[in-house]
Amino acid sequence: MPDTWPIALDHIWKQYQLGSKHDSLRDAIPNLLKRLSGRNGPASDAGAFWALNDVSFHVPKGQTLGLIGPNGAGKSTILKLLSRICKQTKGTIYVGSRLAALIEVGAGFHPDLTGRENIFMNGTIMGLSRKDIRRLFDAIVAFSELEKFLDMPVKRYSSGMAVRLGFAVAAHVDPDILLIDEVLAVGDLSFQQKCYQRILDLKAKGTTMVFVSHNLDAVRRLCDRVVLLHEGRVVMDGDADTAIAAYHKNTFRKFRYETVQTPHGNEARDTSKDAEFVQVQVLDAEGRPQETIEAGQPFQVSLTLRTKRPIRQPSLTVAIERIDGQICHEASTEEAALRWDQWAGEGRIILEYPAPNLRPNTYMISAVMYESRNPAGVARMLGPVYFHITSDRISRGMVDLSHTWSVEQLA
Amino acid sequence: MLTHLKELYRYRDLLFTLAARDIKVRYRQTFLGVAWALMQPLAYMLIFTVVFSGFGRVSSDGMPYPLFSYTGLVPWTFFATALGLAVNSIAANMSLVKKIYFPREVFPMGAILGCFMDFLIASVLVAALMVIYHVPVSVHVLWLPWLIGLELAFLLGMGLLAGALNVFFRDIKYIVPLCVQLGLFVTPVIYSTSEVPSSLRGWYMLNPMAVVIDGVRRVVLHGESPELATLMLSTAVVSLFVVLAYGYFKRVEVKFADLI
Repeated sequence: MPDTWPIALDHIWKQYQLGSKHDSLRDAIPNLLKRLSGRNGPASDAGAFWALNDVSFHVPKGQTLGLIGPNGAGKSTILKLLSRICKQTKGTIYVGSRLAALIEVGAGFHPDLTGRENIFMNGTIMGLSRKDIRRLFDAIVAFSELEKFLDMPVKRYSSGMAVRLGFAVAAHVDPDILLIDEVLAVGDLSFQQKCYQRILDLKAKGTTMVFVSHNLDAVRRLCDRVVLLHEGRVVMDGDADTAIAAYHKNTFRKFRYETVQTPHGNEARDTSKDAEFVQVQVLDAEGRPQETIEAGQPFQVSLTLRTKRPIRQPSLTVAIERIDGQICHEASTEEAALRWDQWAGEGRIILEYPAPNLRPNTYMISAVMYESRNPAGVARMLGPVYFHITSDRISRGMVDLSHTWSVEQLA
Repeated sequence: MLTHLKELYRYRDLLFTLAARDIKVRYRQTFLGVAWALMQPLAYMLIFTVVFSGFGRVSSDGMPYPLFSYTGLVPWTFFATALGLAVNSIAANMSLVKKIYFPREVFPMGAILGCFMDFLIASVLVAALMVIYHVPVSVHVLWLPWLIGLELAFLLGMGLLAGALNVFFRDIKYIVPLCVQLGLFVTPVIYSTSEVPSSLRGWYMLNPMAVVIDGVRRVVLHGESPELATLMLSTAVVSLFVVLAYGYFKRVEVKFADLI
């Protein structure tokens, strides 16, 4: 079996303690005394959480497996178990020999040592011998493009330079199994390209790889197979396109975000305020509340407001923010030259998007109501309202810009 | 145990690199550089000489007090410094422990090895002092590797045990230096073993550092062999201790990354 499966996970469970159970003797000694005297200590399961629930998968030799899923799905935990940094609570793991993990580039750097010294340091941490490193030294330096800075302490390196050095060392370990966690997100574009090329070279050489990334485009380019994780469970195990499409589409519906208080909208109230948002919803073209909108389909944002006293010269700003914090769009009644003298009691405002061109992703709506020229705002939503734009077609970027291609004959 | 040792052997270059890193980082950007390795035992030697040989008279078995105290201070300073670093070595390198796998014992081992070079440098001055005070060298100095080996083994056991415990209970890193400071008074550094009442001597020699320093003075200064029975017994006890400490260390090391 081990010959065919360089990596095999069977029914893996991993439990973490939330908070520290005992970090000092002051906590540990009373616990010990309690245990010795036969009385039960505080229920040990109270602060525990299962990072992995019965995860199983096998990776055949030469395959590149992608692990995707939202934050906290257990991707990094799996890498830590595979690289033997941590140990599973239950289940068995088989990992073949000659494994290298790129969990954080340059983790072993010492700021006071020079680049040259750190190459040796980092290389030996990765399990190379000094002899190996001397043999690979020139190739590592050439890859990093840091010839001129080798004798400078790493603390004076820019973060980009440190990353280049770190990846250069790791890329030359030449393992049978390589674990990569999100490292390609750093460095400039041309260096990223170089890293991809190196990984593709290793792949061509038959290296078995496990690749964790939020960059789904990179996952699609590199992985033969993708495992989609959610809350420590395997949701899907299949080819890259299917799993990524599932991540984009189904998972957004299934995964609930805690900040959404009710299935369709935000009903939390703050009664101390002069004005409040009673409900904010995303509606489809027919006016039905929705959490998911098909890309390109019209949608509306409905905002119900209630005021305790008349608000003079009110105005409203609505922002659509992508899940990673990028503000994609902002609309304000002031800009639209929509003016009232005052707002009293309860009322609803509809903001319509007849032809939105947002690309598939998760978005957050936030809104603020202002009174005349006061920049503080009289009402604010307690939390954002989430919605998803989905599509069967996979596309990157933030927005669809209408475009045409044309080709000119050169010769 | 054998698989652990095999793996440790595979990572031997990391051990040396870590030790070299410790040495380089310690003396880089210092004016005196490696000469600092001499400063601590020398400073203590001067103070001890003024206080215990000038103000009050402490027997030094007929040896010049500076030479007598310095010979004890070199192994003692090594023990105190290396243990202090080894205890904190894993907790201090937590960013590495959480990110990359390798046998964790390289941290306390590397810390001890890094101090060992200081120890060797400081030892050179013992030879210089012997020339100055016309103390002859005898064939019994051949016992030194055994005595130094005993100290290294004791340090290793203590470093592994305390280093692992310190990950679970951060109190350890305060307890150990306190014990080391108090330990100076139950170790023949300032005074000679001959001043220990014979009724307490058996207990006194349970301290492996007492065996080491007493042995070093005998073979270096007095040109005689160490007390063989004591040395044998101490070596046996320390060997057992190292095996147990290493076993404990390997059993708990998988929990380190979860705990920080």
